[in-house]
Amino acid sequence: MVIKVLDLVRHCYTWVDGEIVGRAIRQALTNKEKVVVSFAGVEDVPTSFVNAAFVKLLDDFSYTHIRSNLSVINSTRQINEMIKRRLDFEAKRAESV
Amino acid sequence: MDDCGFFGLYGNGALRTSAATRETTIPFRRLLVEESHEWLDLHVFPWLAENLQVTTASLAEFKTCVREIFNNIEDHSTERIGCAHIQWFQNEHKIKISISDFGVGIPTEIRRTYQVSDDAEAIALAIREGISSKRNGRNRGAGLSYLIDNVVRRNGGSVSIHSNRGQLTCWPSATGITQHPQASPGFYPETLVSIELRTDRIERVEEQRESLEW
Repeated sequence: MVIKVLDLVRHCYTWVDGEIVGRAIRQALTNKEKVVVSFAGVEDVPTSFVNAAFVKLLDDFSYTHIRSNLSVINSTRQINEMIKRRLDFEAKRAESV
Repeated sequence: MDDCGFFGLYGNGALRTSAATRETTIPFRRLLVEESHEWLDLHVFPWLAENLQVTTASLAEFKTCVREIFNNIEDHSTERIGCAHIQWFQNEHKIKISISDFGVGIPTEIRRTYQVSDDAEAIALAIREGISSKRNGRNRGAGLSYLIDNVVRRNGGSVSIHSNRGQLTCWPSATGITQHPQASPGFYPETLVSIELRTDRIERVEEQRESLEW
């Protein structure tokens, strides 16, 4: 399943924007689908957006499962680094608790 | 201060009749948080990219850093307004970005969750990734950490944060990032974040799309 973020939200600025995208990703992963997230038209994303769209997935899925079933295309260096940075940190934090 | 519009915004008008915005300045501007994002996308960063002759992709991380400050205002301040000013020092190869909010200040927020001895320590704690005054806060205590990592470690610039009776300055050093927390000589009721970017250290990046490699 391909999720084009700008089909769901007008921009990727805030937690609220991220929640909408995150709901769509969670639904697809729950349905055992492979998810491709396209950031076509988006230049950068802040932490709040990534936390809501991606980090909250760790409540329901392991980091390994997310990496195996989720890919990101049409993205930028900043977006990719932000997603990896936040998921790496929060997955490690969860392990250490 | 006169040329950047400070007295026009907060006083009774410009002090000098000759006061005028310089070509190297984005004058003081008071913004609602929801206005700030498009202001950054459509005005500030295209202006910077044109002046510095780089792609907007080269400035993406720094744009996000400024976004983080506005999102912090959204998450932590009772007043959803920020005040920003940007100055390009062409000969010194620097850009200075200052943003203030109208909230209660980082130390006051941090003390709701953590015990700290003074305001400077509170600010130093607030910049650590994963530290937030709000349990499960929206940026999960990652915004200031991202800002300092990109401006100081990546660009070799500096970040100063003044809030209540504390201030913290971060600059690059051989070991990574040096932090200098200290008591402030005065009381700043809100939070002021000052960013100094080195224009000669901005990595030139092409506008291109890529996929995420886990």
